[in-house]
Amino acid sequence: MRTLSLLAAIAALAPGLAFAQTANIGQGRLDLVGQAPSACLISQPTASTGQNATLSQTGAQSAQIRISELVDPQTAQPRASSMNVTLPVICNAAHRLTVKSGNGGLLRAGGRRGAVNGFRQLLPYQVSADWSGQSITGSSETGTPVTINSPNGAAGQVSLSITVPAGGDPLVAGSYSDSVVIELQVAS
Amino acid sequence: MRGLASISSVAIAMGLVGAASAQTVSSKTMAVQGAAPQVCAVQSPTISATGALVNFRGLNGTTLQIDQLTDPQTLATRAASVNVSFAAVCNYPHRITVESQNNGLWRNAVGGTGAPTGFADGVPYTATLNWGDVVQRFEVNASSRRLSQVSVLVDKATAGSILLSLNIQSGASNLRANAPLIAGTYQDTLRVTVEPQ
Repeated sequence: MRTLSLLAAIAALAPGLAFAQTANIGQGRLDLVGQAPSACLISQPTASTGQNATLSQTGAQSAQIRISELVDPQTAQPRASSMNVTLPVICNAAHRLTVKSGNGGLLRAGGRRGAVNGFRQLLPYQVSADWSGQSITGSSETGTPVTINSPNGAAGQVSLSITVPAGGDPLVAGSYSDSVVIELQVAS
Repeated sequence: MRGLASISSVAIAMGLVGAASAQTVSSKTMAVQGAAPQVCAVQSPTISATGALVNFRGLNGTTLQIDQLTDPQTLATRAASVNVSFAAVCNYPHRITVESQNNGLWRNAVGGTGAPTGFADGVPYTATLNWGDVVQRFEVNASSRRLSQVSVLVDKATAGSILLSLNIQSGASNLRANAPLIAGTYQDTLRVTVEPQ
């Protein structure tokens, strides 16, 4: 008697087989990616302490320091004044903090930098900044009295001080002003 | 006249029926046998039609890119969510595992240094798995950078879609809620595996 047998293997396979390492293991993969860009944020002052000066907010990113009595009324010599401002700052990458003086000092409106008959028209002042473990002081006459480089991100409070010294040559009568810009820039 | 002999058609093996009974029908029977081996297969991911895509740009191959990871006003994490599905089949009782390579979205740090004080460098999220009757929540908590996973036994053959629902909460971080993120590229890789128990 002859015998004949026929064997057929039936394998059920899903179409589009992907990532299967062996027939009885299947694997899928998902790569999640997101980017946190480098950035610095400066917020409005949280505290201010003035001597012969007051601070007022003039906008979201600007404020005004008004010196109450710029000069001694008897001698026209500058009176001492100072303002300390605390600003919350967050920089999430290496960055640089600079403080710049627009005029190099308090400049008389319509005046020039040079003295006239022993009377000054430009009153320099000191700028100090404490940030990220560093403390820098410079004169407004340099244009950029403060530069602080930080190799890492930092979050905290910048303490910024402007100090106008008393004495020295008297000032020509007039209105004196300067713009002080504190800037934070991430390293590119 | 002799009646026809009854025909018995039970055949166990192919072969000619013996001629002794003078059959009028001869038959051959072929035994057909088959074996279905254990098979699991998972296809490439697609964005599921169900559920809204929030703050994700879409799939590029296997890469899912977050549109805007941080809020520019606070530098903290922005919410994001997406449902991803993998067409899959597994024809035997099996195990399904979801593995996170980094246990969160972690920054690729140069030199391996941690984040400065006050900054987060890892983003936790949740990945909810739906596969057949299985629903399993996976807390990818970014407590530390390591491999983490959840694994569930599935007691029957299953076919359909493996659904992963990903959710990143607003302000999520490995430091405190709404901590700013240190700048960088944040990544994680999820692997979904179906395999023998």
